[in-house]
Amino acid sequence: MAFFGSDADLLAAHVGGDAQAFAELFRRHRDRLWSVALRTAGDREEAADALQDAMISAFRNARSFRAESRVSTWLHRIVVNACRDRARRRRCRPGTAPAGHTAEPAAPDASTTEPDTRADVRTALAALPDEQRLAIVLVDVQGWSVAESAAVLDVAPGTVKSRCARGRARLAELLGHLRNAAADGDVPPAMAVRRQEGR
Amino acid sequence: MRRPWSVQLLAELQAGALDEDTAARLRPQVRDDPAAGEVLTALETTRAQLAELPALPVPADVRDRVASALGAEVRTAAAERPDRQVGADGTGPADPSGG
Repeated sequence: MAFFGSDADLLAAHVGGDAQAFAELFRRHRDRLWSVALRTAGDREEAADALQDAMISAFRNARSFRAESRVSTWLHRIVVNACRDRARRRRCRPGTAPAGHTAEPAAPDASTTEPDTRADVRTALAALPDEQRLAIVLVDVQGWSVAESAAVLDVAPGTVKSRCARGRARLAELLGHLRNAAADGDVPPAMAVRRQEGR
Repeated sequence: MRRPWSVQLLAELQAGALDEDTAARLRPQVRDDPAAGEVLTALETTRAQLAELPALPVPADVRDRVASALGAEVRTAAAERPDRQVGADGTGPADPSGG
């Protein structure tokens, strides 16, 4: 059966008992959700488990969706939280190594023809702290707005901006774009800097 | 001469992460400084490279696994609530396989 309704229509149909509506919602968003899961978890199996956990959670809790946010925002938020929950449980399990972010997984079709710069960007991205990487993935890689990303991450927009700024500065350094630029740390202590973080 | 900025501060300026007073104070100092311009260009280059990263299509095995788990959810829901087994138009029985 073909569905032509909006995401919100599909979710409402699912809540109303339509057996196929949620499967269609997953079909629409699965690639974007997978991209975020994989880049958040950094490990294929962890990402697959998190995506499955998240979709089952969304399926069961569809009534909790509030129309003030977009369905895709809501789904991404559930995926990000599932990744975090799995990472937390993994850290708490004795003798279990955390999923390593040694390198962002290459795309399945990545081959020796992949440009070196792209591989460099993947490696650099994987080296960022989790919170910075997540903000960068949503805003710069996936192209989400700061406001939408803030809703996904459940933080203030200023926090997203600040994490993006720190992440970009680090990436620019890792990618060698700052070789000719002045060394960092020239800001005189007297220069009062106020940030928007938390706002 | 000490510069009134760091790479971190310029990244925050560019991201709109500074409050308006700080940003307004910093902008004229940055505008006439070629080194600051280089940093801002480097940050823009970084963003452009990030935007060029390809989407990562969900692998077939993961796609099928999640679809199968959702199918099981549909069957469980249908077993618990037989009255909800309606099609998309609300008139016919749903596909018990969950599509």
